[in-house]
Amino acid sequence: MSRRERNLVLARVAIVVVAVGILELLARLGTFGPTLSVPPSVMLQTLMASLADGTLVPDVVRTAIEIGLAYAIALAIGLPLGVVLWRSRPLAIAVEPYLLAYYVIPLFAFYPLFIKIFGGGIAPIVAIGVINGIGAIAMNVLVGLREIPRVQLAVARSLMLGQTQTLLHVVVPATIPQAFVGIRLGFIYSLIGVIAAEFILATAGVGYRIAYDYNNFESRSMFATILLVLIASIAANQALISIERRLQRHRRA
Amino acid sequence: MTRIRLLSIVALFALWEVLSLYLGEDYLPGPWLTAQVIADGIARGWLTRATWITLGEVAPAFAIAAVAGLFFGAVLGLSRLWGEIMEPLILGVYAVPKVTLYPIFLLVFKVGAASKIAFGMFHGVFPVQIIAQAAVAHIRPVYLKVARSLSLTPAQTVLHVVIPALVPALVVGLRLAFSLTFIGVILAEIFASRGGLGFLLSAADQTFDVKRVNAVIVVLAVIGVGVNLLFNLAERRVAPVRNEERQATLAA
Amino acid sequence: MRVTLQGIGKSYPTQGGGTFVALENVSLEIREGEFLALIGVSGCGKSTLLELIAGLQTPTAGTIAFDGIPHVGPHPRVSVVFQEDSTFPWKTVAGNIGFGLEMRGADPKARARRVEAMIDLVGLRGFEDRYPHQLSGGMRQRVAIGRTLVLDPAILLMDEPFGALDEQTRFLLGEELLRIWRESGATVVFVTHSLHEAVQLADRIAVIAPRPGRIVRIIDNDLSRPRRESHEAERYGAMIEELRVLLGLEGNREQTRA
Ligand SMILES: Nc1ncnc2c1ncn2[C@@H]1O[C@H](COP(=O)(O)OP(=O)(O)O)[C@@H](O)[C@H]1O
Ligand SMILES: [Mg+2]
Repeated sequence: MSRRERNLVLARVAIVVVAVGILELLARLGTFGPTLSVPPSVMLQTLMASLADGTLVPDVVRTAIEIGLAYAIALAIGLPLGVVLWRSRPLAIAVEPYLLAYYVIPLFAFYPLFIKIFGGGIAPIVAIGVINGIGAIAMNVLVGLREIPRVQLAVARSLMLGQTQTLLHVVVPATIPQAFVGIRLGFIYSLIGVIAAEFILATAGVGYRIAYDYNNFESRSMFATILLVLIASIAANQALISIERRLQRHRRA
Repeated sequence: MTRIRLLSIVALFALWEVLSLYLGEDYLPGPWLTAQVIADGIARGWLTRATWITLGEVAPAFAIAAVAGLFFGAVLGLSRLWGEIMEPLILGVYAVPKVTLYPIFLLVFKVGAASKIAFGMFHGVFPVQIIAQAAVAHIRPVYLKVARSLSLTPAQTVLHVVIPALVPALVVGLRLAFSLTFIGVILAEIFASRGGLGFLLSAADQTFDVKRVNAVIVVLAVIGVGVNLLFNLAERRVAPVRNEERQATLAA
Repeated sequence: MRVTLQGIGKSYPTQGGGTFVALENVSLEIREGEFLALIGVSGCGKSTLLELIAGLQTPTAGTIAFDGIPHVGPHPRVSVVFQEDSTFPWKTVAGNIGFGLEMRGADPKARARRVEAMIDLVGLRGFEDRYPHQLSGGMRQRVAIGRTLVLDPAILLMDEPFGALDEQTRFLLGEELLRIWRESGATVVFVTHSLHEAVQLADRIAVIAPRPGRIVRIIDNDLSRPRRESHEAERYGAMIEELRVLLGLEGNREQTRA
């Protein structure tokens, strides 16, 4: 890391620390009224306590399982879908408008339908996570494949590589950086889909806990759980971004 | 191409019809029944009223999100240092399931239009900001050199060089912002509200009125897709060059 | 118009807190109506020197004078053609060419007339309503040239304007540029790293050496026009050879000939 980068990171940390500090101070002074004035330190304590005494653990486990399942299924469908759309022009023409219209409709609206199709339990929540993730994955794989420079495929042909060789040594490496954008966004969107679905619709899970605490005026534990969601999603995103950077290092700008 | 697209729409309706026959009209009303319910909703006004409430919230939320996003995007795009410092922080917040923060909006603004507008704005502001920042930061330096070598005034430079150069990216940003603002408002209405399409949806769901649920879903889809098509048209007019790439990476 | 560069220097602060000297003590008299080529290896400071004359950068030492009058910043009678594509994708060919006139508040009718004439001059008749993305690289560079020429500049600065083009287009545009230069009577300062381009086009060739950028020699080129390698093969070859030596390319020559 160069000195400049290190300074940038320090600046970011400083901004977050100052912001949290101000929040802490204002909350301790009770600036936002009784329900909203929960200092970040209290949020953290409450979070630690409810993780330690196990009250939050089943919900965390449940949500983690839902996100993991949703993401795995979204990958299992989204990655091949991107490839199929690349290979079949007519199919791409038919499906593309739907892919573009994908994120403009509130997918949660389909929840009642999913309950009817999949029954209760975690399946309908997972389904929302899955469809939320698929679009970004398939679309970025498609874009990545379409942007393989023609000359690279021509090189493969001139070297008389077989199909598998071409796939393994040209197509996949050329596509990975862009595809990984989809793989990262797919995770974020699955996570957002699952937690949001829990929040408005479910009867268990981290998202549900926030809604439950809100409805029961438990603002301390509500803020504690919100803090958990913030930390977990930002950390996951950051980890994926750093992998993405590494993959794109060899790319020209 | 148009033939394939038409076919795909027909296929979608066929799938809907088959699914509804399989599950039964009581579980999933088919296209025809849904159309009748929508017609009823328009004739008796319950659907149109809810639609106007929702759009009445989306409009100011989108306007504020657009202005705020453009402003902060421009500011951070112009300052390389601040842009670099803030970008990961903003992208981090973008990755959070924002709906879990909605209770905070409710506590601040109370149940009602204000909390829904504020949350819709918060839900939609990020893509405009992110895209505007990138566009301003990466405007081709040679355009600015042309402007300076012609001794343009600052106003001329902004009006005739900077803004036209940014327009394609901004249309993409505004399109995404509309979708997210719209979804944010609907989420807010579903969670806690006394009016609007989201409220109608959750009320119908709780009373097992699947016909109304379907009708609302169709209206949501028509609004979402319709507005997007308008933006796409605008995009094609202002940016004849394709920018599919940007769409894919920043979709939603 | 005549340009006088007096002891021009340009240095940039470096990350480590030092300074990087891009140009040092450049003095040069650019004569009225001449075609001057600036030649040097990549990174020697050609673009920097051109942008200093254009007023897009300010020198850290020395002065620039037009017709003996010192001047800072862009000059209305000086126009630049950049190396990269600088056409505006949101304007048509005609819109691009008329942009400078529009900004200077020219009367619309007069503007339309001059744009029309310029479209013919740069050979884009029939393409006036196209957008840049519908044109080839060579045509886009013609648009950029038209956009500057239409302002009737006294000094035309060109930074490797044909750099991104293929050999044939380069040659054709070079010939057209010479014609335009003769007809307009403008002073042309033409940056290139191509020996042949310099020898074929310029009256005088200023050779710039790198680190720090400085003028090491100015060669008078009195080959008769139109210039072809075959016409005065010996003198043409000698001039190329001299430039090669001045640019320190001697070592490479053996390899390329071998
Ligand atoms: N803004 C700048 N900051 C620091 N160094 C610069 C800047 N602009 C140019 N340079 C340096 O000055 C030198 C000359 O650059 P330039 O004039 O672009 O060269 P040329 O056009 O001959 O290839 C190069 O080494 C370049 O790295
Ligand atoms: Mg240069």
